[in-house]
Amino acid sequence: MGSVLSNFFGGDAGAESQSSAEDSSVTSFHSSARWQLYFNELKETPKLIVIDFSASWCGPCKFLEPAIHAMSQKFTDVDFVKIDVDELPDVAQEFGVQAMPTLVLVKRGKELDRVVGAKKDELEKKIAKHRPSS
Amino acid sequence: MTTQASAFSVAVPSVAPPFRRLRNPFLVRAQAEPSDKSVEIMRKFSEQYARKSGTYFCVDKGVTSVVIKGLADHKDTLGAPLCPCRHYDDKAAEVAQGFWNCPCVPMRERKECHCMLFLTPDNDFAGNEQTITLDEIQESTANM
Repeated sequence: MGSVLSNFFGGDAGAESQSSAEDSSVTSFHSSARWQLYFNELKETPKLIVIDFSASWCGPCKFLEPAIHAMSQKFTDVDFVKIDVDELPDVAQEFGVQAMPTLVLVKRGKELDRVVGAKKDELEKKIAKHRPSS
Repeated sequence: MTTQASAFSVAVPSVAPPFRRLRNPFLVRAQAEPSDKSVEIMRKFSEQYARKSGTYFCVDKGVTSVVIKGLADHKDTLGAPLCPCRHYDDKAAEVAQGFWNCPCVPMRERKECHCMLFLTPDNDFAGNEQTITLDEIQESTANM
């Protein structure tokens, strides 16, 4: 069962990165432990992280997706991360996510700002404001 | 004692509920498709409720389709069309509570649907349609 599961999630992770191969600058996390490791590492740097909390059947999340991919290519000094709240509910809870999509801007382990809903322009403005080179 | 314990642990997987991996191991996302029956029920409900509330579907019907499928999925798995655009600590408790069952309280009271399923005409993303076909739903969610 365990190996089947890990195969399954492993396969899923592979497929995920494949599906966005042409603009793979958004990283999807499928395990809380890996997320925590990444998050702790980034705490030591001044890098801005944009965490996109979404869900499989959330329409506005799909709507915002192309814009996020575009921003990830535009702001190459910013890390874009995607987390499915059903897959990693503990991370969603830790960040107090209620409505989706919720985009949390984090730097040095601290939340700077957040945008709730498919508000593309507001998100872009906030990223531009908080990114280190601005 | 030891034999009993191991026998028990062997028995557990067969008792465990069927996991969704059984649906389609090659599916791109870790999700199961909702039943056709529930999709049709939620499609009809959405059309009726849009007309009743004087709201419209999104110009991008892909948004509408995804949400309808999300409602159908929750109807299948939870017994009620819980809003698919929110995160809950306990979905079953949320269903029983009823606040976020579609149409949710904010929609019924103030025509606020953050899922962008029902949009008031003044919304930038509102289209001018109150109908959506099953084909449209399947087509726009085919590559998910």
